[in-house]
Parts: sequence; C-alpha cells; structure tokens
Amino acid sequence: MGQTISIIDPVSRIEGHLRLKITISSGRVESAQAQGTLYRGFENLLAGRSPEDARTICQRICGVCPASHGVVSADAIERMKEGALPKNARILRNLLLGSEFLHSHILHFYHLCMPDYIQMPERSPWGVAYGGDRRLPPEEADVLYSHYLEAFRHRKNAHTIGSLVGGRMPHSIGIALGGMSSPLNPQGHAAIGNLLNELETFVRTRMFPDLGKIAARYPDYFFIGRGTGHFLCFGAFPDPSSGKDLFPQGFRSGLPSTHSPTAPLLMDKITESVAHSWYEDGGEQSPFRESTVPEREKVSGYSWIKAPRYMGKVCEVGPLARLAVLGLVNTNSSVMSRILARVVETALLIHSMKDWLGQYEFDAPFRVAVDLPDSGAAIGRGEAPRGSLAHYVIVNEKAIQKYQVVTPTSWNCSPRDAHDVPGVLEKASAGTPVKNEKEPIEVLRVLHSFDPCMACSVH
Amino acid sequence: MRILVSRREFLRHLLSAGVLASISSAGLFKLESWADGEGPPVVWLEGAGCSGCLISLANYFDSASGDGFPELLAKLDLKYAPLFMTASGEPAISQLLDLLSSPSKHILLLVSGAIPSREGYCTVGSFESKEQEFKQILVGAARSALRVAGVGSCACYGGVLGARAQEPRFAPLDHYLPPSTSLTLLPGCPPHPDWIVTTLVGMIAGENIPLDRYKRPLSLFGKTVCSQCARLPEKQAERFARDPYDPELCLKTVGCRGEVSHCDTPARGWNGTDSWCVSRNTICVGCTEPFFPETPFVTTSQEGSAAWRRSG
Repeated sequence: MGQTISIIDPVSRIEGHLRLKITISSGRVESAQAQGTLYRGFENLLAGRSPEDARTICQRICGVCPASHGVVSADAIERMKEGALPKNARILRNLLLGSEFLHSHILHFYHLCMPDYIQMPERSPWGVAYGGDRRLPPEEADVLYSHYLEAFRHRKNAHTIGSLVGGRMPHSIGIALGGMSSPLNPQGHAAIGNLLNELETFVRTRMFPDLGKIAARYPDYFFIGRGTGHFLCFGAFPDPSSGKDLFPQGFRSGLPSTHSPTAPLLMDKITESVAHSWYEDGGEQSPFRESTVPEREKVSGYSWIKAPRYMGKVCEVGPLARLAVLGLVNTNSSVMSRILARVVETALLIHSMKDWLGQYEFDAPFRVAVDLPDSGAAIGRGEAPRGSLAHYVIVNEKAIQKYQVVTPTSWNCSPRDAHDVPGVLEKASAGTPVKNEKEPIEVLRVLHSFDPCMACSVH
Repeated sequence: MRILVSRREFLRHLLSAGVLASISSAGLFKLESWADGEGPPVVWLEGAGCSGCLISLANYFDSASGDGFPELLAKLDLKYAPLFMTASGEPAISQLLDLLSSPSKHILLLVSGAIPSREGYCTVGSFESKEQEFKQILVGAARSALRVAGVGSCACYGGVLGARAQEPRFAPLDHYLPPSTSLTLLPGCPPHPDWIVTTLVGMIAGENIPLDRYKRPLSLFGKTVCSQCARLPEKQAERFARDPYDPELCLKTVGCRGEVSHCDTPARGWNGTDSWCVSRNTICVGCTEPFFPETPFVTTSQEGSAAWRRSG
C-alpha cells in the first residue's frame, strides 16, 4: 500500500497559524511535520528599548496568554535587582495568572477541543467539518453543545477577574516592576469571590461530567498521541507567605517508569536548534547566545518555530507535565490524559485562587519600588496555561541588548532538531490511526490535545 | 393588542428617544428583526497578529440585555473565523475560496493583524497543497466585501509590528486595499468588544458610520481620553505626578498620552468593570492612535515625541 501525504492547513481551533503535514501509510500516520507559518520577530523589535517597556510590548506576543508574558518579562528584570515581592503582590500576580489559566482552559476544553468529539450544529461557523467518529448519542451531544454555549460566559468572567486584578484583559495594564499598579478594594475583592464561586459550580457540574462523557466514549485516546515521556515545569504560583510553588519546578524523564524521580531543573541545560527552522543557523546553543535572523529560503527549514531541547531531550510541557513533575503521573502522556490534566488543573486553580484571595490584606503593600538596571542578565520564568515559559534578557547601558523568548508551544510543536529528532507533536502524531485521509479527525484530536498557541511558538 | 413590551423593544425605544447614553449598548438588538444568520456572510481573517482582538470580542457582554458572544454568534452568518470554526484544512480553505469566487460584493470582512512585506512570512491555509499568502487572501476577500473593518491596531496602523526596523516590515490594511474600499478602522490594542459589535451591527444594518480622519467611528473615538478622565481637575489645577503609578495626580508629566489619544474607555470600562488605564494608576499609552507604540512609554519629556507633535 502506498503513502499518502495529507495537509491540514489551516488548523482551526488553535491560536494562530499552523500547518501539519502528515504521511499516511496502511491507515496510520507514519511521520508528521509541524509547521509554524507566521513570523513576527518580537525578539528583534525589543532590542534597544528600555527594560521598563518590555513587559508591555511582550504581552502582544499573544492575546490568549498575554499576562504570562507580562509577568515573566517583569520577573526577568526583577531578577537583575535584589529584593522580593511583597505578599500582596504575589497574591495579585497569582490571581492574574490564575484568571488567565481559567479563561484559557475553559476556552480550550469547550470551544477549541469539543467540536472534535461532538456533532456541532449545521449552521456556521460549525457546519463544515472533518466528519465521522462522533460517538456520543445525539441527546448527550446536545447537552454538551448547550454547555459549549454556556462556557462562553464563564471564560469571559475569568477575564473579568483578571481585569479586577490587572486592569484589563487581554493585555493587562496593571503589571508593574515589583508588583502591581493598583490594589484590590473591598468591592473588587468581593466580586472576585463571587465569580470564583460561579466558576467552581460550572467546573464541578459541567466541565467534570462533560469530560467524563467524552473520556468514556473515547477510551482509545488514552493510548493515542503518546508524548516522549520527558516533562518540564519551570515552577509557578508561589505561596504568598512561604514562596513555595504550587507547581514546583523540575524535569521528569523517561516515563513510563517506576524509577524516574523528578530531577532539579537546570536552566543552563536548555538549548535551541534551528537546523530545520527558517533562521540563520548559529548551531544548537543557549538562548543567551542566540540570534533570530530569518532565512525563509533555507532548504532544510520547514517551520518558523525553533526547536528547544533540555539536555538534548525532546520535552513536553503543559498541565499534564506539571502533574508529572509533581510526581502525580507515572505514565506517558496521551490525547485524553492531556485533556484530563487541563480540566483537573482548572478545578485546582479555582480552589487555590479562593485561598489566595482570602489571604489578601487591604492597606498592605502591593508593590516595591524597583530601580531599572543599568546592566544585567537574567531568565524570567514561569508557567503559562500551555506550559513552561522563559524570557532571556540581557541589559546593557540601560537598554535591552538581547531578548530571547522560549514558549510552551515552542517545546510542544517544535520541528526536528540538529539530530533530526522530531518534536513532541510530530512524535505524538506518528502511529495515529486514520480512517479517512481527506478528513483526518484523529490527527486533529492529537493536535488539539496540546492546545497549541502559534503566536507564542514563533513570537 | 400588545400589553407586554419585550426588554429589547424597550431598550430600542429608549435609545432612539436619546434617553439611554449610547455608551451603554452596542446595539445588538438592532438586528432583532433579522432572522438568525439572515445578514450577509461575515468573514474574519487573522494575519500577523496575536488573536487578542478576537479574544476581546469574545468578552462582549451587554449587562442591560444579557446579550453576549453566543447571542452575537447566533445572529451572524460567520462563515470563517479560524479560532472558532469547526472546519480545518482543505474543507475550510475551499469553503472560503468558494465564497470569494463570486464576482459580486456580498460579504462583510473583518481583519485583524498586519501584513508582512515578503512572501512566506504569513500564510493562512493550503489549497491543493499550495500555501496561500495572507496578503492574497485578504485582497481577494476585500474584492468580495461590501464593507471592510480593520480590527485592532496592527490591522489599522501597523501596531506593535509597525515598530519593527528590520525586514520583513509589516503594513496595515490600507497599504494593500484599493482606496475605493469601504473601510472602517477600529484600533486599540486590543479594541473594546463593544466597538467591534457596534460597528459590525452598523455594517449589517447598512448604516452610514461617520468616521474621523483616521477612519475611526466618530461616535467611539471622537473625544480625547484626557477630556473624559476623572483626573482632569488635577490637570487643570496643575497638580502633576512624579511617580508613574500615582493614584491621584495627573499623569501627563510621566508620559500619559491621554491628551492626544481618542477612545471612550474612561466611560465604558473594561471587562464589565469600570477599570481603565488611568483608573488603575497607569498612563494612557495611546494604543488607539497611529503612533502606537511610542517608546519609552513612561517618560518625563515630550521632546521628540511624534505623539505630542501631532497635538500642536
């Protein structure tokens, strides 16, 4: 039986521009190429600007997870100076990032992912689709569709929480060096509490049961779309008092295995390769030494995404990775386990946000003054909804000399590296059964389980 | 005999009687007499952008009527919107190309994101395995469009990408669309969802939308931010801030561009709150203006500033 090449382009229900090229043989995907198809060049446009401006500009890397970029950018500059954030500032940043996770995860489960599993209405924008393999009976699908509509309000409300904390969503205006620009007042505090209660009810009475309905009908997807077994987390959501992360940083390698403990995270083990990316190739190196010089005509290139590697290994990031690094997951990732982890994380964060909100003290400091560095080098880091995020910043003579960003979707949707080893999505796609080469819904499910954000991946 | 008046009819009556300030509603109820999906097909194209404009639109909510994004989706015949549409791949791009193959002007086009000056930097689909340039799809779609709206600063004036000094350069819509295009621009980074819905409703209903010299609807962008700011008395009393996060004083002396920026967020507020930039102790950076982003944002000097040169 021969090989067929199938192209999925555009990939809808992701953020941004992705083209997936798959080679199908004997009813299975043999290999895949994940291609980021938009380049904007944020790293270059930041050069020469004040470190103060970086977090405002960086948020425009992505309209789905801007606050993550804003906070990580501020973190990079803050690390160049001594000092810790006041307790209230940690709380506010946790609430801001938490609100971003909630909006993004609800959007993903219902609006980006669910149409792969239920029959949507005939009318636009849902009528045209890859058909087939919708296993839920019509009555159940109708209920899930009604929740799809209801979910729009809840993700909007998650953004309202973000606005009460950080001034506006998307593109928060309230992230300041050393904390936030303005405090919570009692009305804002109460409003956030009410919205969190509504969200808690929605996740418990809708999202969890809906996940269960889908997982029950698609149990084979716990065995489709396996990752590489290597997982990263850069640490996120510090406890306001102790500073201990809710999701501790670390590297978990070689799953499934009973003897793969979480290892400490070593940031200097991170390199990026552009062997198959449309850039001038300076070799596999630390982002501190990288440049970003586009070379679209490069013959060996097929994507605008670079290929980040940790100790040379292809690593997965995201909600499941955070649980794996915590030691709560002992199996390799799959389509359904990624989706499940995202829903679990949504519930966990709502509870955590209620707790942080309760620790907020009116009239206590919410920002410390931070003098801009004349020079310095630091890696701002954290976890965005889709996984590990880092901003590598070098400041010289009060201006940004180098700014390199490594995003979650760079990790998950990278092309092959200098050793021709495929990225996570490319690896996960291989082996996926495909019934209809013209409508590869199975591959779309693998793809969507990573919740790709292409604007981030290329930046 | 009608005894009960629907909430929507009541609102419409108030609006036309000038009782309701136009700030309160984006007017989705104006389409009430239209059956769901009855209006012209709507196409949303995303170029070199971040999807923030579409996410902002998804935050649409009118507390008076309870209408939100699902109600908007129900009303529209939204044929193409990559973030939400079910279709991927060949079915999706074929449907779009079929829609645009008709020689007549019959769609409403919303465009977010800027356009790169070179090929291969922004493609939006593959037809028969061949990548389709955003620029080509955009120009083709505009030819089929009754009206076009640029959404967000990138599409309108280049935005954050217009600030790039290296190749490729990124241009706004009017660089590539013929001057005869019926073009309305909704800048902002992001634009407020009410602005997008107000304009879309107006386009569907065939309304004439008076525009300013930068092609922005006057009803939304007619006043300066400064003139609507709660700190205007501080400015008039010359009580100026030294700290960029001052909670009370006028922030002009630390770089606020409110004097030369235009929008109505001081009155409208973001995300269903009364929050806007200055109310949260940060300067207006002028994100609705062609000069955005002008850095450094926080600055004690207006010397050399394109923004303030404009105001003179």
